[in-house]
Amino acid sequence: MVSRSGDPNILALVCAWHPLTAADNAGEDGCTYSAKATVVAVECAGRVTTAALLKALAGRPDGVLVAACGRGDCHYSNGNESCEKVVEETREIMRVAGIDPARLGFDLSSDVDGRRFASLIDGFSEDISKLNGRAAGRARAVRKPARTRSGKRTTKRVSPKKKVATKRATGRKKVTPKKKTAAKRATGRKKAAPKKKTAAKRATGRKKATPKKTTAAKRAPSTRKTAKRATAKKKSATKSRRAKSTGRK
Amino acid sequence: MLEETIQRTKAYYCLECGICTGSCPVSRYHPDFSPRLMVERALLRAEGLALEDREIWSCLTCGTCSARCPSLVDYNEFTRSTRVAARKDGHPGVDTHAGTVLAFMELQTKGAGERDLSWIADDLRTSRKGKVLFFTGCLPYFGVVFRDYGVDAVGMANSTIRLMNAAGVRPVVSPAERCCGHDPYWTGDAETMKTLARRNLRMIEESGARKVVFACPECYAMFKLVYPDFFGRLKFEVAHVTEFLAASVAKGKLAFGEMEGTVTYQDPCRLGRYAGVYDEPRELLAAVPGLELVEMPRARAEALCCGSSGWVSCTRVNKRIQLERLTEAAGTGASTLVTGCPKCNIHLACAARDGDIDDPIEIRFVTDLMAEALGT
Ligand code: SF4
Ligand code: SF4
Repeated sequence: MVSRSGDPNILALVCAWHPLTAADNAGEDGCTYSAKATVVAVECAGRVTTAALLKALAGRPDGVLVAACGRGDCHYSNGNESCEKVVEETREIMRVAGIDPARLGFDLSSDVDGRRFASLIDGFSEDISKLNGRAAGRARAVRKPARTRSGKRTTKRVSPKKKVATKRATGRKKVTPKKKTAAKRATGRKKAAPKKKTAAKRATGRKKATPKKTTAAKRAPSTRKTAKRATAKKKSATKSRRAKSTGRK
Repeated sequence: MLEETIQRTKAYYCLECGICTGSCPVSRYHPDFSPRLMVERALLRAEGLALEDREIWSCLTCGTCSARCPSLVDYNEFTRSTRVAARKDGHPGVDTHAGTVLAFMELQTKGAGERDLSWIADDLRTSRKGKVLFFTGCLPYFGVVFRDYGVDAVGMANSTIRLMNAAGVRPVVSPAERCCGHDPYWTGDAETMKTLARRNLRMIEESGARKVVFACPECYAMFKLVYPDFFGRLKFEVAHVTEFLAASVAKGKLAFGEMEGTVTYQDPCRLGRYAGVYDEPRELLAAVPGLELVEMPRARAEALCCGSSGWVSCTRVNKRIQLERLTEAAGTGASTLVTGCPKCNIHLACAARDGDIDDPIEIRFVTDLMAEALGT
């Protein structure tokens, strides 16, 4: 695989409640994370089925990450827990199919901290890079993940494995708004595309239902995103969704 | 498209006799479902009506109607090829099990790697190359998905290997194996089937196997009846596990210990009406001293379908068919319903656990029962 340009292709399915808020905050706080992560919001993690995950895997992303709200915090009562079962079942099927189950990440958290979200993505992305390196032989193609549901929300971000996340969380510097350029990721990730820092883009006013920042601003435009993936059909929506890092309203 | 279907299935011979509808287990419980009408509609060249009709997804492709049609209309093929067109036209069926099963089949055309074989029990002997290959099909996958249904599909695969070992064969089990494509094929997705089939044929060639043994009659029927249409004559023999074991018994290579009990046998559509294998499973059961086989009123070519196929459309109607079959099986006085197909086992077990009938008959896959008769 993935020998493309560095970062692995990640599809992140993010519950529209806490995790999406965290993603919004990541943008607002100017956090950055891998441009190869495609974040797709789902109304509830409980809506993610085993079939949807298997179909996503058939699109051959390097990893799929599902982010659900923390235990006891599901807006619809138990979507996060049923999602947990779905993820477990999917991992078992992956094992049978000869796909490393670690390529399916799962995060249960109601933490809406944008930095945590960014580090969740980067942590998962880093784990997947290691897997790719290790599995050099086992072919996983590089294609980008099928972008199943695009659409709804403008923004979003995903989160993957927790442990990683926590670990990395600390060190990352949050880019302060304005001067995003400078900040760009300390880590040496190579970003494929040009910066489009277009701060301006923003605009979409989705208001987050959840916690903290209600401020209108939310959405962060992507900075580092890879240009090529832009092909997605709904360009604008996708774009903002994939927004790489530095956001800032 | 429709025209070609009519020509290929000889639908133009239809006499409108209605025997198909009268024979159909779905029509019995679902008055809107009529194979005869569907054929008529096609003959009137009402393409739109034919493709948009959701009922084309209700057919079990059980083959009962085709077996009885006086004009030899191939209704199963008619259904299949109409489904191909309907799917293209944007009218797919409703997948059962939330699409999980068809999704893991599709996954095997793309993302899947080398299959995990750690499910094979430690005391069993298998190999990577050899003359006889055991095609496990989707059993390891079913083992994950249907565990909660009380169906141990991995156990079925293991008991098959155990019996083959007992018959003196150390089968090849290949990590490069893929789903046979039966379900995508019968739900109108021939492309997926072809991709899977090519990989399987290559895998078998590389294994050096001259004979391939199947636990699942659907895989068996695909290899025996469908693959040759697309890829020419197979370069190896195929056998359902019951045929393989019955032959081993006949040759004196396999014998069973005593086992008390009365069982009845469910003829799977693919093994029976499609592949014409009726006797071998019965011979095999008869090889167990003390085991008595009693037949259901509808057996062999008249057997009632297990009520679902292709992982599309599972409704009230399907449940009723299954309950009817479970009741019929219990009515024979047998304590166990032996199935020749892992999928019949899954579907009937699903109905049995719904609680609609008290104390449902026990359902077992044939190799599970036979492996038990091996003793220790
Ligand atoms: S049984 Fe055959 S001839 Fe009779 S109505 Fe059905 S398709 Fe036509
Ligand atoms: S194949 Fe079976 S279910 Fe389908 S129409 Fe014929 S009898 Fe009915």
